[in-house]
Amino acid sequence: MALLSVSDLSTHFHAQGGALRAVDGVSLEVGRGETVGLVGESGCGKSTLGKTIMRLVDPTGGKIEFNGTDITVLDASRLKAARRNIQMIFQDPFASLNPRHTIGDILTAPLKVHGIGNKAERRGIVEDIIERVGLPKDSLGRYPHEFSGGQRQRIGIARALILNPELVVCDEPVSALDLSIQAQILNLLVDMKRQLGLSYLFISHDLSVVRYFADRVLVMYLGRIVESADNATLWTSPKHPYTRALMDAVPDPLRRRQAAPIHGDLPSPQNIPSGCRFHTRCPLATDLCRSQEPAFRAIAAGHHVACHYAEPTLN
Amino acid sequence: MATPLLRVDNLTVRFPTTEPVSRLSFEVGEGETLAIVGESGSGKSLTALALMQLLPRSAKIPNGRIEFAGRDLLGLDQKAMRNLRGREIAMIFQEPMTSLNPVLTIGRQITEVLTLHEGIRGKAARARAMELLSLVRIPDPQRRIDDYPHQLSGGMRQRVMIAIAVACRPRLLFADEPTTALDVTIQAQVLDLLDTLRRELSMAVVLITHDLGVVAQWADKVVVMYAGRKVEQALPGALFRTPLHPYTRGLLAASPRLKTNLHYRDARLTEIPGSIVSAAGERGCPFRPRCAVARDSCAHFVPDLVEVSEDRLVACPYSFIPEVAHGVALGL
Repeated sequence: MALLSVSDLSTHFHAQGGALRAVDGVSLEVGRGETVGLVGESGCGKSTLGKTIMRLVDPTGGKIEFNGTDITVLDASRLKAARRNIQMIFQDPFASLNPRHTIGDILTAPLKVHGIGNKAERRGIVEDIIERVGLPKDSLGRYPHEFSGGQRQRIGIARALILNPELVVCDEPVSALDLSIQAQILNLLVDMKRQLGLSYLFISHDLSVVRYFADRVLVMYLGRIVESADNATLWTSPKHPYTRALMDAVPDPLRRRQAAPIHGDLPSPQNIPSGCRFHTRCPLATDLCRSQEPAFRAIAAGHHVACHYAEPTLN
Repeated sequence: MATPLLRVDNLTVRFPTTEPVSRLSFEVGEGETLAIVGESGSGKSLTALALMQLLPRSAKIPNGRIEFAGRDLLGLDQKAMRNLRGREIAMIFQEPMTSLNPVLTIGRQITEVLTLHEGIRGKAARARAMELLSLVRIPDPQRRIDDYPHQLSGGMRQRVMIAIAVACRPRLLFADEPTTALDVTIQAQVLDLLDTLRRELSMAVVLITHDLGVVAQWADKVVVMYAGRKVEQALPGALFRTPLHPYTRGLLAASPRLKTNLHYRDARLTEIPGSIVSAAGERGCPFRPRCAVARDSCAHFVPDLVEVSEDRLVACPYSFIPEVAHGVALGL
């Protein structure tokens, strides 16, 4: 049984000009000990998907199962208990820490909320986690503004891990950081996964980071998963034209430039194109694509794609 | 050699307690793209502001010379500088939403520049604005010209910024992290556009970025900055084949890349320990506190930039010793 199993999940928002279909029928699984990468452009719904899984946003339809329990329908107190096992790391280490609380307070809060330990025990847990993420113990008496971006992200990670969760949803955890700091944080996430046996849902727009960090990759476009495969397969034989375009758009230091692989912007999620939702930007689109939505189908073991023209992989 | 369009010589920018840019020199030729690479705190954006004379009041330029098309910019008064800015030297920023005025239509914001610098008004200005919008490949300019910034996507807004910047056909364009806020797909489109305009308008571009991939693909020449100093200068091919400075090597090794098979289950990323903050107050080489191969002597003096071959400068006396090269494992 997968640790997290999401089926046909959708999150629509009411907005001027009609429903905004941010997440529009997504199914995915995260296995125990697995890191699943979720990539896509801004506006594709990947952060909303992460927040819906955390139940920070209410889903419009579908089901989220965690450890076999349906968490879509839980009441507040049972949801709180379930949340202990699912935590989140946010993109902006500046916006996600309360500037008026000390690091010690920030890290103790989740323990208090869940009624863990007495004062002395909590102190012990907090000191242990702050050292694990590579910060000195005296950080606990200091305030967020006294830390650099990379250090703040370490604090964000410590807060997410303090309840010893099973699944951590990482929403762009390194995008706001300098390159020389990104590697430090990615290495820390790998260490924590090893030490604590974590599973990650790793949301990022940066394909090269996902290439390094994921076991399996999901590519999202306008609220839907359009391709999913294990890491090696996806990078060696991407099948969806969107996946290929995303890869081609990443500037590679060892390759001279080519023309931009796709044109135009992501269409509005309030006005999702008919047929295949990628057809307005797809270089290969035909009449079939404009009229009929492709099914998300298996073309090889563990490799799914939603494109009419994706050829099955021959064995 | 022809006189460069822009020559920055020994430029220092000083605030009361810090010196974010120290003795920086570089040149940009006509129609050339120079990339300045560095992380936050490296002084790359302040360099651009110094050149545009848009520094905050508390900043001083105690020494240095900035020559643009033969003129000494530091000697110009406010009025002459205002004349130059926007007309001959233009600038675009990272976040187009904060640089565009949210309560004016984009058409109005483009025509404003035309009226100010070229005295074009009314219908003529509107027609020219329309041309500029098509020049930056905004689809359906007739409809878009009366849009407000919030009605446009991030990529479109950056195109509008570019339209404003190139409205008077500047000879030099500063692009400060122009695509950092954009998706890779949109980034490719915007950089493509900048490069096309560079050729069509024979304009030089100074591209300030932290993205090494962008540098490799778009720059003619690269300057790597660390803590306010130039630590390496090279042609992009050479820089990526044989990075010399331990910082450049570290940056390349630390970046996960699509074409490498590096995976977390098999290998750790090479880290540059610490952060740029450690350079503050350092009397020796600013990179010393984070350098994997630092020696005792590095604490005593700031290494000079040494020309190691044509178009190649490096500020590390130990960068050629083979053991130093091995000391920083190359992730390539």
